[in-house]
Amino acid sequence: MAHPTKSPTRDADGLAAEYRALVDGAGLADRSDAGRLRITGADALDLLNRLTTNKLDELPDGHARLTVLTNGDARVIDVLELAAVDGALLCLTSPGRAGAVIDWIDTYTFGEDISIADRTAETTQLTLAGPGAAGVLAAAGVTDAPARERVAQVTITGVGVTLWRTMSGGVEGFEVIVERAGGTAVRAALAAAGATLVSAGAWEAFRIANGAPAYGSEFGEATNPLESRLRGAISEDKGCYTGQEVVARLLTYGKVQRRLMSVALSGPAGAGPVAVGSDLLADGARAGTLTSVADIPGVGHVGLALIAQKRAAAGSAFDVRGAPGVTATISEPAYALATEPVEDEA
Amino acid sequence: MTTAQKPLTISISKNAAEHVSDFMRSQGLEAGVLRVAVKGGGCSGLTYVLDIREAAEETDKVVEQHGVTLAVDRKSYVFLAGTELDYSGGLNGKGFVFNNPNAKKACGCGTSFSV
Repeated sequence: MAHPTKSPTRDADGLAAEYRALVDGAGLADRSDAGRLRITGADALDLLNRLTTNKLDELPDGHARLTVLTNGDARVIDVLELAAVDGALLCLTSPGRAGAVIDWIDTYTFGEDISIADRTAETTQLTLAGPGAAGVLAAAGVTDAPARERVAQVTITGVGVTLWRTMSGGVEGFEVIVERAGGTAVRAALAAAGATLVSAGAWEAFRIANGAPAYGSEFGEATNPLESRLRGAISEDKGCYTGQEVVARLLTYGKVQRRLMSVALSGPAGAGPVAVGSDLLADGARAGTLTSVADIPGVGHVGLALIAQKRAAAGSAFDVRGAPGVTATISEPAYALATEPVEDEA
Repeated sequence: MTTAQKPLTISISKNAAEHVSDFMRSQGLEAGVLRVAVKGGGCSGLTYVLDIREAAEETDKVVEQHGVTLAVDRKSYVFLAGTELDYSGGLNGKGFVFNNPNAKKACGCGTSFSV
């Protein structure tokens, strides 16, 4: 079977156990490499509403929303998780993108009252995911966990945390954001309450298996949010925002060129490695590109790919350039199925 | 041979100036400035903003032409230098039009641009 070159580095048994915890129980991943911003100012929400894809004309305290920061060509600067907490906006960015997001917003700030503080280095971000996540929180004393698109300030082992339900791993989970000094205690408390600590590799495998797009792999300045299956973060009736005209045209005329799909890789023992960036071939012609791959013990080799729209029917199979004998079979990503609006069949 | 460069200032056409003056009179305003700025947003990234104000901001660049005082927001100026504000009337007219040499792209309605 093919061996992805971007596979997690944990040993197979450890990775398998961690992955199973995320799928069947409750896994806790340290995702402090994501960016965390605190945005304040009377004009902050209005400016973000003008610069991003989702409707942000109001975001009451305790509410959260996913939105996409796009340029005038509707290419993705980053995908942002926004939440209103105590009169400020908390903003989660992709790993390594906090500075780029701040710079982008600053470029488009003229007379607006808005301030952005990069709190990435001062805070810890843990993500608790899996069907047992709510039970772990309850065992840790949090009985009023927030619903989807909601955020709450709670206490875990005496430490104040921001608890935020998101889809960051492709399925519902909780972001646990805490001042850095309290991170170790909160992590230990959640582990004592039943969460399995999982490595970055297991989290990445979980993300890929669930089809959650990531910056630099499935979205970025070479993609628009529709190709990356981020339609759940796009409002079609909010009016103008940067990139809106392009997005509206793509939707109206059905001109989205590529479609993010989940991939299952199969092949004979000893088949060559499958690398991120490999072309997927249909009848010898390039039909798409592998954007992420993971080798999950007990599950198999899975990935994500951007496929030409006309070739992107679920169940389609492709050859992989440079990996003789390997077949890539595509399916709809779980994340897209859970977040995209249901199309009107009429 | 020398090539005449466009002056890096903001100008207003006589037609546009008359419409500004008419509007101010209709609002009972005897004095005031036309504040010109851009803000983030709009389909292409930047949107023009026109506003009648009693006076210019301290940091504004002020230009007087055809009886109208233009007050240009300082941070916006870099995106507007060389722009002529015109007025397109009639049934097919667009109202106030920004002829902006910095704009590389504009959206369909013409109120948003990118540089």
